[in-house]
Amino acid sequence: MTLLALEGLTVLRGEIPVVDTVSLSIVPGEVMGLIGPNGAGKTTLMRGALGLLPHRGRSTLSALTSGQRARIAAWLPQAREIAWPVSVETLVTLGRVPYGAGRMALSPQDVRAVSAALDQMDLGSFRQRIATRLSGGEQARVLLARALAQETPLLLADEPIAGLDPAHQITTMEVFKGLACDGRSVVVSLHDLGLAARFCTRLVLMDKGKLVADGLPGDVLSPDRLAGVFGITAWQAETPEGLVIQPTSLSGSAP
Amino acid sequence: MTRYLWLMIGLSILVALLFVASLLVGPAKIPPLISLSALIGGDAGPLTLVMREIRLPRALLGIMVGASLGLCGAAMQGYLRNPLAEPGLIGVSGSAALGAVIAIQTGLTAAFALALPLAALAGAATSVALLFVLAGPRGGSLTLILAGIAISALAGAFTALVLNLSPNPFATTEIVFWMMGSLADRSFLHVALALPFIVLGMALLLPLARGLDTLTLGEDAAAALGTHLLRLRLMLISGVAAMVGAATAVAGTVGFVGLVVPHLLRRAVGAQPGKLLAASALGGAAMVLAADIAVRLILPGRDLKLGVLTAIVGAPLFLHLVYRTRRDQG
Repeated sequence: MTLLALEGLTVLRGEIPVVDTVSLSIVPGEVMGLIGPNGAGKTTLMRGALGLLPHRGRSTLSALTSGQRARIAAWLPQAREIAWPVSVETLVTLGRVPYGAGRMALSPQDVRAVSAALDQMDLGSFRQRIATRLSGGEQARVLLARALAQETPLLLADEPIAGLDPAHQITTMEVFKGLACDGRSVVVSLHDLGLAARFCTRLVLMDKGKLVADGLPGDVLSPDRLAGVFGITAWQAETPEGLVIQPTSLSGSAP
Repeated sequence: MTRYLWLMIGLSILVALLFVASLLVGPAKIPPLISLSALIGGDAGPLTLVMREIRLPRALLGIMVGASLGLCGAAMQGYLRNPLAEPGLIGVSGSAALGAVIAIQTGLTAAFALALPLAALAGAATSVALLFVLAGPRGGSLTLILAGIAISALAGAFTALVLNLSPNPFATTEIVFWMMGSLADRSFLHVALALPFIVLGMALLLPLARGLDTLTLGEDAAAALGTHLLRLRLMLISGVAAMVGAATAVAGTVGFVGLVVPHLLRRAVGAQPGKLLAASALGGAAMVLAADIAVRLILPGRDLKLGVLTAIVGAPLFLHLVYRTRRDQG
């Protein structure tokens, strides 16, 4: 079973392709890390795949109606927007809108999903707090809880761990890993190569709109790709904890 | 949920009480029980005529105009995710006023009774057509605001031009007074003319509650939650145009209601833009009814204009709210 299949997905900005004929597919149980330098097209790829941007090529998600899609894929944008001073619980409950929340009373399923999402993101005590008065990192966790409450087979998250403290960065990546163990899948864009290598089951490397590499973290993060795409060198080692990678210097200045 | 229910019940009772109070206030000093029995029982006497032909349409228009302004204010603020948005922002009220001004200036209003509200509706319709051309069916909220500002400015300029070149001082006076907004001396013709548009507007705006709730997370996340942004925008603009166009056509420009009422009620509905819609409709109705009672009580002989009062009360209230918001954010 495939959760998402892209065939020759191309997104143009004017004449220039920001995402250039990308093909890939995602099956259940994956944490797919989407990595690449700024402007590589990671966000555009995800938005195009969801059908939020006009595109060429095929995406199984954008072929659906918006209502169907909302039950298959949740989307956590990079912009952490909370427009009104609503309570954390209210905000997370928005994740249940695709199932009818707001049109009718909450179902037991909705209530359970909201509680589970709050617990997963360590927000149980924040329920009644006003979301806009929380710190930036706390807001990021609330917004992720909203996406988790949607309980979709696929979650696309755009830099969800940027700006979180180390403990919550690890918590978040572990939540993603847990989702994958439950047979769901996550597409996550991130810049932290160390966490990407540790927690992702698969990495997709993008550069200038093109898919450069797709595979296991150890294979994708080869020294010549790090130098060619990111312009850096990194220290790497296989440890009992898994692959550890730490960027050390710019590749030009390497000895 | 229950808190919201109580709020709605409380607001409904408030509107009902103000509606009755509005029926009981007027230059003809009639004892309350007698006037109400004349309204309900009815005979061919002058009392029944006063109640049914003068006070009842006035009170009904108070509810209709107030509900329109409150609901549209809440919808605009929810869509633009900006507490400073107001119904006039998309240029409909300015254009409706221009239509009315042209009708007064050309003497059409003297020719037949409904010329003024019909011309105002035509003005509103023109501005919406222009808005769709300028802002396009797609495009973000920013283009909508910019197009609305441009249309408002243009309508304002043309209104000034008409006043500027008017050879008839009586028409000029009439225009100036009409633009201040009032519910005095309206008839059931006005009610019948505005009602279909206001009902249509409600039917378009009230179902947007869920979509506006999801917009709390931004346009991208709302779209991914299944909100059809294009359709939401179309329904919003059409609904606001129908309601504000009709309200302006029968009452002139009544400011600050659409801006202040959603502000006052936001905290009571837990800041949820969807719940704010119906609450603001009731709150707006209550505010306009109260203001329309006040203009009759404060200066009974002088025809104090409704729009003047709402601005005099609304502006300081708004300043207070700005102060409170600043304190909350600080």
